[in-house]
Amino acid sequence: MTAENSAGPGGPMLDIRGLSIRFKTDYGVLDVLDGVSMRVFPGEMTALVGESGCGKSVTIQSVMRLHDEKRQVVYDGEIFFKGRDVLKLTRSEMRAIRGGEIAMIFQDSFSSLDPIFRIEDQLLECVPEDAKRTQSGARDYAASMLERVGINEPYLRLRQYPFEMSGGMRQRVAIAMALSRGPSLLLADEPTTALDVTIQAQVMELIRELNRDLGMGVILVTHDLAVVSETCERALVMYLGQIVEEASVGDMLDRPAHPYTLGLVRSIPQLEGPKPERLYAIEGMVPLPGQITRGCRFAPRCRYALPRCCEETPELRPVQGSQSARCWRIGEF
Amino acid sequence: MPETILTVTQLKKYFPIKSFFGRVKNSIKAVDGVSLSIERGRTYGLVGETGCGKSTAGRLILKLLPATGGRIFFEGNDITDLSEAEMRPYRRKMQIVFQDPYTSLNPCKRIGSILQEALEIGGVENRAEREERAVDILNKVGLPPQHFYRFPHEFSGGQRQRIGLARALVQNPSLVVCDEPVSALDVSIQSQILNLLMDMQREFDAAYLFIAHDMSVIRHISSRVGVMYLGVLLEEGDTDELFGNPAHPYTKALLSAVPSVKRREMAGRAISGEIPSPMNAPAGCVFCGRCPHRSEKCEKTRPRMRKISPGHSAACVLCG
Repeated sequence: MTAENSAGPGGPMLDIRGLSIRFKTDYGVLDVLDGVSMRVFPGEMTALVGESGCGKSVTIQSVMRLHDEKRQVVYDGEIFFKGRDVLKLTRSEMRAIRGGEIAMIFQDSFSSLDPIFRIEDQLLECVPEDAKRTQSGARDYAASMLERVGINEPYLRLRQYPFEMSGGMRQRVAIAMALSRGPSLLLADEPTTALDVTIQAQVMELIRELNRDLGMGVILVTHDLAVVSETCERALVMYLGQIVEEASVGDMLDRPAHPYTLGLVRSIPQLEGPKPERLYAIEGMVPLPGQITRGCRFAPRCRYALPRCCEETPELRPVQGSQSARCWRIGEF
Repeated sequence: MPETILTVTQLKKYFPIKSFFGRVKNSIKAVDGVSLSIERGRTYGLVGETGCGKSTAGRLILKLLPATGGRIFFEGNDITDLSEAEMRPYRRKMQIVFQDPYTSLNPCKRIGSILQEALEIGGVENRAEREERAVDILNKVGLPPQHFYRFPHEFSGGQRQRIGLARALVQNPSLVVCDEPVSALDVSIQSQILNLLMDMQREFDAAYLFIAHDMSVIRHISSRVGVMYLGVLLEEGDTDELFGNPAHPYTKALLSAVPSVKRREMAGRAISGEIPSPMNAPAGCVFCGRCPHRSEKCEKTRPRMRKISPGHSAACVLCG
């Protein structure tokens, strides 16, 4: 399949193929991502799930090319966005895409807003040129963006500073900024991790609504499987820079194919039903990128590991339908 | 009936807000009349959103902060007005595990000496005994003895939380306040630490005051639960009863906002609005600003805790 026909109607808007990333550090070169492939279709919410350090944020940051390319990062692979390979674009072409066609929201809403400027100064920077022709037009546009994300009294809020707002309110402002240029792809990096549950539910409802109403593609990076269950259609599970399972959310949660996914699903305490005496726990901890051994990367922590798992590296293999997993023992547990 | 380790009645903490000239203008009512009691070997879960005063309550109980009002009884003794020196014998029996495993361990000290220091302060004078007990507790929390001479930066978050727990348990306390001990950890590590906390409770027969914002973690570990909002306990009950038949509108809203892996769709359920600042808490029911069932009565008088069924009470005009 060529890049051109993948961008046609019905095709994916974002098509990452075999993306590998290495970071050059003082301690040597670290393999951070290894052959990550994923596709995002318009109007679809895709989850990227995994624990700290598994490479989920690095993946979406490379879609925006936010890494230090002069000194730090070596890319390998292709990232097609609407038929163009993002990794081959020039700096000015990239600048038009960032914040324009692809927007991003971050976990910490306080550090994604500038503390010394009023909300209106920051929001007006993102207003498109044609709305900017008159000052009041720009303000009205900014206020309408705040209203769109459910902020009451938008003209009053425009005059405030970030510290005058609560965490949930700041995250709404960050979403308003991300949406102001009408992006077709939204990258959300743990958008609700720092928020309380009642506020998390409000923010996730907002993102879901925008995704449905505007037909926006969304990649949701998170470690919370329950949030994924309620909002996303597809999910990719990452472990140590590799995708270990890809499936529809229903398949992933009801019959996980990879032992790591199984462990993640079982280790969550439940709000309903009988309480287990002990929680299911994945033993050990995530190794550092420099400590990766050969064979399956999860083998040292896996309770189903065979001698073969520590020797040979499994590939992502189809399980059933659109579900695939990186494991030698698919279907055996 | 199991022995009651801790009882607090009408615990209050007001932080004064002073004007430029030092006059008290107003006060933040961080904790405003909390009463609860914990039995030996049991876990009391204190749950609530950011800023509801649950951590402040934990610190008041350990007398890490002086209370503005109310009484604290520990193992039957009133410790509310004790001086620092008088508190010392009690300190050994009341310990705390903090949320952030990165800032709660002294980075300049080896693990062994962190544990031995706790014993030394607790009055264990024999050096050999201190060392033996420190190695022993390290083993119990699942860390191999060669970690004895390592520094905190050599450990991951989950391992540090094990060390924090070891430091609390090494003196064989009867009460441990666990202030969000798993919320900074990854999911797979979180379940390891929760299992460890429950194993250690069985082994040491300690009472836990478990403070958290995660409802499902609270349900898993607690035998009794209190729901806090703006410095006030809104509902209290045995875990199964409270989660099975939540009575207060806030508890219901909180439970419905928790996402679940069993649902594939977001239910239209988010309660609107946010926690108001504790500086201008409403005079009536603290939840009345966000409550879907509020009436005029709610805005005027603060409802008292009333019994709904044995061991289950709520502070709402609609209940009891």
